[in-house]
Amino acid sequence: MVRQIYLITTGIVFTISIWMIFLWAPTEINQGQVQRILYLHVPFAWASMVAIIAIAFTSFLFLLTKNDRWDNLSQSLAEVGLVSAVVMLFSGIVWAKPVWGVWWTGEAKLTTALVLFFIYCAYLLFRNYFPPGNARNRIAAIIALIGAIDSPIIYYAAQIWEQNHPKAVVGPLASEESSLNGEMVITLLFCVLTVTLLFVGLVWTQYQTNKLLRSKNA
Amino acid sequence: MLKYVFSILLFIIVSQPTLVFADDHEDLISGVINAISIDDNGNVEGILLMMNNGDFVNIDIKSGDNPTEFGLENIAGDRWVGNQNDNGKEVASKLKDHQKRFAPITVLHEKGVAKEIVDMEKRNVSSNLNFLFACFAVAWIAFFGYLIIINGRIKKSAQNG
Repeated sequence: MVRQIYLITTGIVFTISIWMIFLWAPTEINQGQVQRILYLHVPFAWASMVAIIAIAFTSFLFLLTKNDRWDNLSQSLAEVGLVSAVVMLFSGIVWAKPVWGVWWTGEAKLTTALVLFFIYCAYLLFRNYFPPGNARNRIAAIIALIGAIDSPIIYYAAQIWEQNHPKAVVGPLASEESSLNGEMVITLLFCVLTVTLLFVGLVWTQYQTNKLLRSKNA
Repeated sequence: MLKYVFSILLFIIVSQPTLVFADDHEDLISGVINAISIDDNGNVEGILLMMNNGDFVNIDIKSGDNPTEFGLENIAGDRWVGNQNDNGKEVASKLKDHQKRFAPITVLHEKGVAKEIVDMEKRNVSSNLNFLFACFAVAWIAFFGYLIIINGRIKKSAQNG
């Protein structure tokens, strides 16, 4: 019942967010329609950055308690985090071409975001190719703890190195100059909510699936 | 069921304006500068803008708090960004240059007071729709593709069980 309510709510919120992105939010003056990629890029960037912090937290709890539940949750978060990182990188690449004139540049925020993608890949590849057991889970937890350092670096990269990537448009780092107008910021926050709901739903489904597979393999 | 959902979505889409350019209280206009009003200190007070339909619009230029921001290019394409608080004479010089060259500008204004003045966008901003489409299409394919993968795993484990 709860699952069905969650699914319906997410579906409604998703539909509203699509309407807000394409019909309600105003068109940005300088970039035109392509600026609407912001409403996809930022929420998925948020999801991928929060996921690695959450993995570090659950990995820490696993190291502390040795409870397999935390390890399962870390794995589920990593898989959904990887999908989010792929969407973040792809949307960023496609947005960069019309705005900056290049698909990719070696600037700080992009490079640290790419590092995050590699951290997810390394974490999941390690889990898949290392023989299952306590040693694998412990080393994977340590990889996640080290990998989580990248998340705050990505967040502060535009402030620290001041290169091409725009500074934060919402949140504590957003300045008067870089902040969005009312409708744009509402749309962005609503899209963050939508992606968060999708993210939690996917992690939960993945967690249940992994639990089932683990119990069969045990 | 699906056809009702699509009908409602279609109704919402066609009943909405497809393009909104700015906040409700703000307005965007484009045109060439017909006249420039400059005070004794050399600061620009306002401009008379001729739009492509032949109408004239008076636009006030603001200094002090929340001054009008400019982003104007010279003939070589070098962009100057600033306001009258930074350099009032440069603002006047750039606007005169645009007036001489009949270079079109775009003004974001609120009740006739300019907030931003920039060179008129020559390219069609809508032409980047292919990038927008590609981005959303691939993102949602990746996302729902992942859902299908999870679903496959569930089915596989159910069959094995």
